[in-house]
Parts: sequence; C-alpha cells; structure tokens
Amino acid sequence: MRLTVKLLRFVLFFLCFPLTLLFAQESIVYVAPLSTGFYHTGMVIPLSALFYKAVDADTAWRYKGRPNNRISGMAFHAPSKGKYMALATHTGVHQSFDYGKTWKVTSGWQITEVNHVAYDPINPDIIYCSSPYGFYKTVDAGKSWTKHNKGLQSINAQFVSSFIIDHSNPHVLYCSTEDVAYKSTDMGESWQKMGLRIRHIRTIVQHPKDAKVLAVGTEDNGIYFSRDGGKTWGKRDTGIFASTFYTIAFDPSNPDVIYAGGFQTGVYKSTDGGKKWKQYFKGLPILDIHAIAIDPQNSNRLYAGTMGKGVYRSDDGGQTWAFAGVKNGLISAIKIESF
Amino acid sequence: MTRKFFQLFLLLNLLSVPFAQAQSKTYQHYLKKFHERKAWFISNYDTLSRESYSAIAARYAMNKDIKWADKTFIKMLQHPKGAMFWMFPVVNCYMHGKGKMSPEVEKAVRHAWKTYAPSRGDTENHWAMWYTCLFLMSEQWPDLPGSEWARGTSSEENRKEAKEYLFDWARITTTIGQGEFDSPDYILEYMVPLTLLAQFAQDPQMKKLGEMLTDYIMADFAVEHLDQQYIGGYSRIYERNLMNFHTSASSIFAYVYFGVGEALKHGWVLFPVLTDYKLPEIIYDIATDRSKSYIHRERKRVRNVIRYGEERNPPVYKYDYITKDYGIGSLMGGILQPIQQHTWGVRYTYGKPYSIIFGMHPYWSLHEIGMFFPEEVKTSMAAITASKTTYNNPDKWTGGSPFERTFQHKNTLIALYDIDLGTTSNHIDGFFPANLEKRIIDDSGWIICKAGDTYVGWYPLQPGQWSKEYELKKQAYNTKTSSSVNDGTMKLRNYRLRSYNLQNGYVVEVRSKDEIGSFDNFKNKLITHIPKAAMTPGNVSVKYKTLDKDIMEFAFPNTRKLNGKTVDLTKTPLFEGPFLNAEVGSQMLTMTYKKKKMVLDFKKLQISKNY
Repeated sequence: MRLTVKLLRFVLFFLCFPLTLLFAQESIVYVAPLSTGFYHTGMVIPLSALFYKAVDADTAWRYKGRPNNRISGMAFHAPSKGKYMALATHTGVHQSFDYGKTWKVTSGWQITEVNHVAYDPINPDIIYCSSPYGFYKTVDAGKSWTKHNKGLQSINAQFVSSFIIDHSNPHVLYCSTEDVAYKSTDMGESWQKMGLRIRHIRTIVQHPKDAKVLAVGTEDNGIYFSRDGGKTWGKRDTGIFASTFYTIAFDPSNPDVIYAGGFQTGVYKSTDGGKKWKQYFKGLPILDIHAIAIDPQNSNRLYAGTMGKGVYRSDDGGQTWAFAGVKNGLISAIKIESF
Repeated sequence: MTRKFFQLFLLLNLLSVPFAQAQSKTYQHYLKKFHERKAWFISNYDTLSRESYSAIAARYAMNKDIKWADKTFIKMLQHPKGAMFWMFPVVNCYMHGKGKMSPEVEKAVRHAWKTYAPSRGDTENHWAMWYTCLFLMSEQWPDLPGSEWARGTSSEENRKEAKEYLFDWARITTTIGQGEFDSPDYILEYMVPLTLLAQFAQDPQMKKLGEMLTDYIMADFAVEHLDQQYIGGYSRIYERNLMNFHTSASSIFAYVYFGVGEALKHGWVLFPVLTDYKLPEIIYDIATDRSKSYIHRERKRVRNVIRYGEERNPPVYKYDYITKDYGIGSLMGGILQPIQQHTWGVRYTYGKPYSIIFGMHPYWSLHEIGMFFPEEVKTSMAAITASKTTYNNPDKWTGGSPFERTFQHKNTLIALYDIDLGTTSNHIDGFFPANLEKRIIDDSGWIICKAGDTYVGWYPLQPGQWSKEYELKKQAYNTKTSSSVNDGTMKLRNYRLRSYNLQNGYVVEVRSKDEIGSFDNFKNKLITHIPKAAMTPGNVSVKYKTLDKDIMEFAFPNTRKLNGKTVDLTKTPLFEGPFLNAEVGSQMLTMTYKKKKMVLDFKKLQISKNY
C-alpha cells in the first residue's frame, strides 16, 4: 500500500513537473512612487510615474506611465492577468484596460488625493478607492462613482488611508483611517468601528491564510494584531523601538514571518507571527520605509520602498539590503505579480 | 385710468433707458486712461526679444511679428514643463494666435495636448486654472476621443468635468466664501483663468460665469483697496510681498484696473490685460472713493481640513476699517490657512511700498501640515520647506497660529496670545518699518508711531526687546526670512519688537490727522488710555477703553465684548458694509455706490444694474 502511494506520488510528480515549468510565470515587481527626486508637497516631479521591472533584472526598470502624478497605490485585476490596472493618484483614479499600454482618468473632479485603490477580486467593473474625503465605489468601471461614508462620520474617519478586501469573503472590507479601523460587511456601502480604540491608523493588512488575523500599523502606537476578525486587538511590540508604521507584509509562503516599516524604522522582522521583532537596516540609506513586498516565489527576496531613496532589495530575508532602482524615489507602494 | 397710467409709466421707463445706460463722464475718462495703461502694459511685451509666452501672446494679440511668434511658440512647445503654469500661457498664446498662426503651430499645440498631461495640482487656484484651460482647449477640439488627450478622456468628458467643477467652485465661493481669499499674490491665479473664460468660452454659461467671477474677485479686492494696497489679513502672501507691496500682483491690478499708484508690470498680468475685460464703473468707484471712512466685514472659509479637525471648512471672519489715509484689517486668529496666512495689519499711504505695521506668533507644526496636506505627516516638513522656505523659521513674518486671537473694533485692535509651553516659538513679534517718521517708546508703555498723516499706537502687554533687520538681496528671500546682520551695504528695513512671554498681547490704536488732529494730540490722549490685562496661563484677557470711549473686553480665545455686549462673529455675512453686501448661502453679491447698484446673481447667472 505504502509502495503504491509512493509510486503514485512519483508518477504524479513527473507528470506535473513539465506543466509547472510551462505555466511558471516570472514575477514582476511593480513600484509606485509618490515622487522621484526632490519632493515638494503640491508640486509634481515630471518623472513621477509607475515603474515595473523583472525581478532578476537589477535596475532595468521599465516605465509604464503615468507622468505628472503622485501615485499612492496601485491595483491589478488578477483574473484578467493584469489587463485591468488602476492607479491611486492625487488626480484621481487612472485606469488601463490594455495591460498598461494606455491610461485614462476614470474619476471626476470630486475624487482627489486618492490614497488607495482595489479591484473586486472577481468583477473588474467594481473598483474601490479611498481618499482623505472618504470611501468611493464604482460598479461600472469608473463611469460613475459614489461616495460611501455611512459610518465614517468625522473628518478623521473620512481620511481613509488604506483598505483591504477580505480574501475569504469579498463582501467584507476593512479600512484604516485617521480615526480608528472600520469594517464593512456590505461591499463598502457602510462601515462600523472595529474593536481597536487606537487612532490614526496608517495601514491594515490580512493574514494570507487565516482571514481572521488582521494587523494595523499606526501613526504613534506601533503595531496591533487581531485574531478574531477585528473584534479584539493586542499590541505586539517586543523588540520594536519605533511608533510609526506605514506598511506590514506577511510572507505568503510562511505567514509567521512578518515584515514592517515606517518612520525611522528600517525593516522590522518577526518570525513568530508578530510576538517578537528584530530590526534590520544594513545597506539602507535611510530608515523611513513606506512599502515592503515579498517575492512569492522566493521568501528570502524582498523589496523595500524608501521615502526618498528609491527601492532596495534583500536576498537574505531582510538582513542586508542593496539599491535596486528608482533613484531618489519616494516609494508609496510595491506589488509583486506574475503578469 | 389705470391703463393710461401704466402706458405713461412704460413710456417714462423706455425714455430713461438711454440715460440709465450712458456712461458717466468720470467713467468715460477712466476708460480712456485705462486703454492708455493697457497699451503701455502690452507695449512692454509685444516687442520683447526674450523668448517667453508673454512675448508670444502679446505679438499674436497685437498681430505683430507673427513669424517670430510662430517660431518661438513651436520651440517652447517642444519641451512642455510645469502644470497649470504651463497650461494658461499656452492657452493664452493659442487663443490670441488662432487664425494668425501657421498650421504647423496649430499642429504643435494639438500634439502637446495629446501627449503632455499637466498635473492638476492641489490648491483652489491650481484647479481654477487647470479646469479653465482644459475646458477652453476642449472647446477648440470639441469632438476628439480620449486617445487624442493625454489624460485619456474625450473632449466631451473634459468639458463636462471642467464645467461641473467651475460651477461648483462658484457655488461654494458665493455660499460660504472663498478659501484662498484676499490674497495680494494669488489674485493673479484667479484673474488669469477667469478673464480667459470670459473672453474665449464658447459655451454661453461658462462665458457668463467667467465674467461674473472676474467681477466678484475684483469687487472683493476693490472694497479693501487703499492706494494700490490690499488691506489685510490675507489667506496667503509671500513674505517679501508683505513688506513691499509693489511685488504683489494686486498692486499691478490696482494700477491697470483702478488707475492708482505706480506703473508696475508682470508677464502673467499681461494675460488678463490682453483680454477685453473692463472693470464695471461701480467697482472702479468702490475701489477709489475713500472720501468717507467705513467698516467692512467679510466671511470666508478655511481651506479643506482633511484631518485633526471637526469641520471641513470652518468660517473665517474678517474685519476692516478703511479711511483715505489708512486701513486696518484683521482675521479673528487661529490656523485659517496653512503656511502663508497674514492675520492682521495696518497699511497706510505714507512711505509706500514699505507701509505696514503688524504682529504675529511664528508658529509651525506637523499638526498644521497634517490638517491640510495628505502626505505622511512625520516626513512632510522637508517637503513643505522645500518650496515655502520660511515655514519653520522662528524669525518668519507670515503664518497663522492656534495661540493667537484678535478683536477689532473700528480702528482699534487687540491681539492676545496664550502659547502652550513647548510649542514652536515661545515669542511673539511686532513689525515696524524703518521708514516711520517717528517711533517713540513712551514711558506710559505705548509705542507711538507717525507715518505721515497716520498715527499708530501699540501698547505691549508684556515687555519686549528691539532689534534691527536689514533689506535682503532679492535672491536671499528664497533661503532666509530676515537679516539682523548688516554687511555694510544693506539698507535698514525694519525694527522687530520681540516678546518672550507665553501669555502675551498688545493693543493697537490707529488714527489719522483728520480724525484726531496733531500727532501730539494723538500722543497725549493715548498715554492716558492704559489697558488692564490679566496674563496667566488659561486666563489671558484685557479690558480697554478706546480713544473713542468704547469699552472692549477680550478674553482668549473667543470671548469678545463691546460696551458690555457680546460680539457674535458667527452672524457675520459674506460681505457687509456700505459697498458690498451678501448673505451666507445667497449666491448673490450686491454692490452699491451712491445711487448705483449692481447685482451678481449666481443662481440665475445674471448681472443686473440700475445705471
């Protein structure tokens, strides 16, 4: 019996291996800079744009658009393999319907200073975005947008810094605001406060496998975790000597490994689900980190977006870093996709 | 009988029309002189050899040297750079050159708009310029698909979005007030697009909107104008222009449109001058008649508050007292606009253009930046100071403070400060120009100044020290706010009165010779009026009997009493005074001058006048 199972696994392996090779996709790193070069609030540097590169090509970044915009975030519609792309910019939501070849502003004057954008995981016509004025949704690919601030009552609550769609249930969304963190169970139509009473939340992320595990980075209070879908929260800061976190990333292949970065942080790493943290900064020219992304095909390789010195790469799980491109870029977001 | 009476009434009305619409002799004379000033202004640019959009636009408009204009325009279009500050010069050149320029230039302009996407920016003036230019160019090529515009939206989509925004901006401005209000500098960034819209829009509603908003902005300036100066406070001003008003755009507009003061020029002011915009007679009257002193009040709004606030656009209350010799104006204090706010000042007709006395608390904070800018707060200071270099300088001369409040009644102003320990800057400053005829530090405690026929008294509620500051070379304004070190070639610019007490304040009295007689008389009266003040943390207050015997009681932050009655600022209309009146929410501005009346009705998009 054991021999039969072993034999079956052996046969399956050799049957599947060529298929794996056939469908293996090279990972592409997409980087959204808020600006490159010297950065002025209210002033846009012409080079500011979206870049992308192949993981193994050191600094050969390829330009994808969109000039004269401060880009805060980006989204890809995964089922279409990146045919539909969206950018969160200070001039609204820009979309591409042809793999980034051409772009169009698909939000009117009412939507400005966009912080974050995301596609519904199934329907590319449904797009969400957030700004300092609240949460917006389109169901017709950007032809019309509606503001959904029900539950986000105060000025601070309407400053939605980031949001995520629950990967186990696309009707559930979570958002971080200058007030507290909020949850929606009706696809962003209305919002309710979660159990966390800390204010000025800068980012919110979800465990890649256990949907009930959430983490937030805050402006002044470090990192908090919830293990029950946002009902209760606890601070995890053993080993952390910083208070402001703009980004948190779970390793998709081993979610006990978590990275975090923010103001004067370098890159913090936890290997036990956030209980203990260790700081790394060797090779980083500044300690202000706004984005971290982990290569899904190689857990030891990760990218950090600095606030003014471009993109840095680590090939040893964050211990050492080397410049990887977008010189002097103030990097707001990084994504690694296989399209 | 009734029918005959009605016929007679109709006849009289018809007969009166030609008289009512006739221009007064004064206005005819004004227009003649206005056209002379325009011609002079344009002549500075239509033969200018330096390559600039102003030189190109002037040549096209005057139909001169079109070949040079074509060649230069094509060259400049090859490397588009900048946002709306690229758009409006290009639109101006194109509009004035249309029908005169070669097909190659037309093609180059079209190519630029197809391939170059200028940023929309993030301020009220940015958007006014950006959307106006987008609208006008989308009218020029009315049926193009999105692929022919750099932002990917079609001509129709561009026009729709731009029209929606500009009408919404007009609605907000005429309902709760302008955000970037009363700016001697940024008035330019409104006049340029609005006059463009009035001149070149094909859509009749947009054309009318442009015309009405231009009148609105100019009326708002006219009522606070004194001898080429804009009476403060202001939402935004650059420091250099605060001390030397000749470098502000409003002074150039005052020369061209009000016919007042020195002939000044600026390449961007050329663009409104090239249009057919004429100041309505009533606005000219309001701008120039200072035969009677008056109180004028306004309500504006704070720029969009995006965090750390309770209200998106809290109100701003402004109070002015203006005579033929001086004007004193104030905002009520607090953080009303980021970075460049000027809360109060006295301006007068002596010693121009260095004719201002004011005070302030030089405050800055990440909290203030976070209130108005969406970037990460902790890393934003470098970004702000990259363009607004004086923002975090304790010696700066512009900016609002949450620890400052004012109370003005006619020509008396009280400013109080209750500064938190540990905040940026533990001092307040007073600015006294060096060219004052007299600056007497009297034993009574009053500082008594003479500026021609204007007398200013300043009573500090806490002790202070004086220092001298010198005129900076022009380029130094980009890096410093002031210099207290004279390299031997520098001219004394001002005296700074600095007081380090956290609980602080002063009383300012202003009178003219016409109002009080001699300077000695002013001085002798003033020294008998000593304010009674309490200066402890949490209890900063003052009681003062003015030279006109009014009793002002003021407790920080917002308790104001005049002759025992509480002053309720919340009832302040959009405009209130002898010349301009508008209720909050009305979308209607009524201008009055003697028997003349003009109404801008933004609900009906209609201008009506009785003269």
